[in-house]
Amino acid sequence: MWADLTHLAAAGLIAGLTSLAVIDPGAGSGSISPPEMVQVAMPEGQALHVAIHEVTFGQWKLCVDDGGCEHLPNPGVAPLPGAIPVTGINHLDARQYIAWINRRTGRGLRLPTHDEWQHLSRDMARTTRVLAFADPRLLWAADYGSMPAVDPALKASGSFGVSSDGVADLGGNVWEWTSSCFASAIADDRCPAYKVEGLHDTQLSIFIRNPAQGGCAIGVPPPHVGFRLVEDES
Amino acid sequence: MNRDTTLNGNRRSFLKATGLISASALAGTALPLASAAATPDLSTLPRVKQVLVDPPFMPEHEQVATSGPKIVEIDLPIIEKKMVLDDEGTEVWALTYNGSVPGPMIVVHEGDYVEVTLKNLATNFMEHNVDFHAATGALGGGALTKVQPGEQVVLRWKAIKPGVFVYHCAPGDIMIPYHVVHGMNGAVMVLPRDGLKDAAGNAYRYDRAYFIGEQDYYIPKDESGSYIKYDAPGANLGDVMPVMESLTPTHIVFNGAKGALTGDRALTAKVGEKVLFIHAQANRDTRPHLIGGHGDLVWESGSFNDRPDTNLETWFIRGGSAGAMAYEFMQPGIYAYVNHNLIEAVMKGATAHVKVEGEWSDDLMTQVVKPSPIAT
Repeated sequence: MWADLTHLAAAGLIAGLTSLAVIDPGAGSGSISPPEMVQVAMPEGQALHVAIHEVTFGQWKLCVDDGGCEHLPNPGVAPLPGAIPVTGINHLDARQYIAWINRRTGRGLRLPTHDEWQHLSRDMARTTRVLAFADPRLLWAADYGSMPAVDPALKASGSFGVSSDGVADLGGNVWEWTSSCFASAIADDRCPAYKVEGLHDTQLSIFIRNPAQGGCAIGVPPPHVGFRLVEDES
Repeated sequence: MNRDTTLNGNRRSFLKATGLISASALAGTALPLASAAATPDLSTLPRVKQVLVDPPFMPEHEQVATSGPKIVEIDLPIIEKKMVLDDEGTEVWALTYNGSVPGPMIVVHEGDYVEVTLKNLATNFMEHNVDFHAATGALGGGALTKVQPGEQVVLRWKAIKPGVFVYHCAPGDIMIPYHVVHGMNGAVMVLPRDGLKDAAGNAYRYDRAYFIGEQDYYIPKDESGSYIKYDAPGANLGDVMPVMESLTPTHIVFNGAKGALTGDRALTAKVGEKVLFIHAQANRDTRPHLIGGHGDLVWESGSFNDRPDTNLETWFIRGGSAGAMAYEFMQPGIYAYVNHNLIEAVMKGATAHVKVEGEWSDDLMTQVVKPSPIAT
């Protein structure tokens, strides 16, 4: 079970947990640094460095304070003790953050692709779709309630367990933007919607910051969307 | 941060502001009882107890009365309780009738008597009462029903106007809007004894009915923009008044919380069923719309003596009133029932869904060509 991995992680039993943590290249403010990452062997043999946690609200705020990000999402409720993942972030916002942190750290951080995310979450039990309507003419409504409800209350980063690669919260209640356009035929600079990953696959318009209220009139979208950084082996 | 979110911290000013201390001196003194001379002999009328249910559901009721007038007994406890009203975990100390926002629907027939036992639980902090818009006299009963925590009062009123009506707490001064925007409102349906009539005057029976109470909330934020959580009902008094005076709700929701009538809790119906939707808003104008359907019959003002409008796309519910709409579903799928100020529906929360089972009609709608590259 996915949840059981938490205990393994806590016991330090996970192999290959290579931390590349917190290297400050000295570009700009000393407090701006890339996230703590683990190295994950990918199917084709290459290595991918993957942030252990999703970008946090505190990390996002640094970008806003530094002038790199325009949008400061409302945390909604009083901050929890400890770091919480930033949510209320659309694809354009995430790209702005990535441009900023790479500028400030000299790194090549990016969003994971859909395939990379699928590999990272390979051990995770995905929720099974139960279609609301079988009639193909009702395909437009078939996804309604097809996913089990997820408790939307934001929790501290790390609350949802760690994968065997050492990556936290892949199965949490914050879905993650990927860099994969919903349709492969569309040029990246014209892509209107990207794949979003979490307990189930979905896709969101680049403008959507709060899928639970803004995605469309129907369906049960993910409760929150945030993002995680990865970096190719240099 | 040195904000005091407790009630004790500002209890003195709270009591002063609410007039609770002085009101307490008045309440409990012997009120004049109903004059026997002005009242017909009610001792012969049958008494029935109506079991209240949480909205959106309706209590069991007859559409057409099968007997003469009766006395309908309602046990209405008042419960102050903390509720979560959105996905972010924002909290409100709700002031509730029977523990729900909105308060439960009460259904009687014209000519019946409603006998309400209003109980202000001893665990509560505040004075409460109830103003029934369907009742006649004494500020809708508000002047005769003020109860302090630990007290109860019994009020009987005759249902003489058929229609749907709001009821709400109105304990005086600023506490009137305060109680209403903290959830303390519900609705009464007074059916004509021979049931509803369509626009042509023919008898109209519904297969199911739902009560949708729309609630505007005004949740104070702290300096960082986060919604403040309080430790007790009433502790937000100082912070909430300027938010209320802005007339800009932070949340506008159906049945007490964002998403209360979507997903697993979506309303359900079947193709061919006639569904009655009663929509109440005790404080603020709204404009219900059924996306993908229509208002077959709409009693916009709520009066069942008026002929219903037909085939409306959107209808208007005045703040401080309830209205009714009936629709026969003709297609399966998902419908969104919204306040069609779409900012309020999508960004503030005023959206419900109806999941409808049945056979799709290609005659009514067909996707002739699926999305595909534009033909040249």
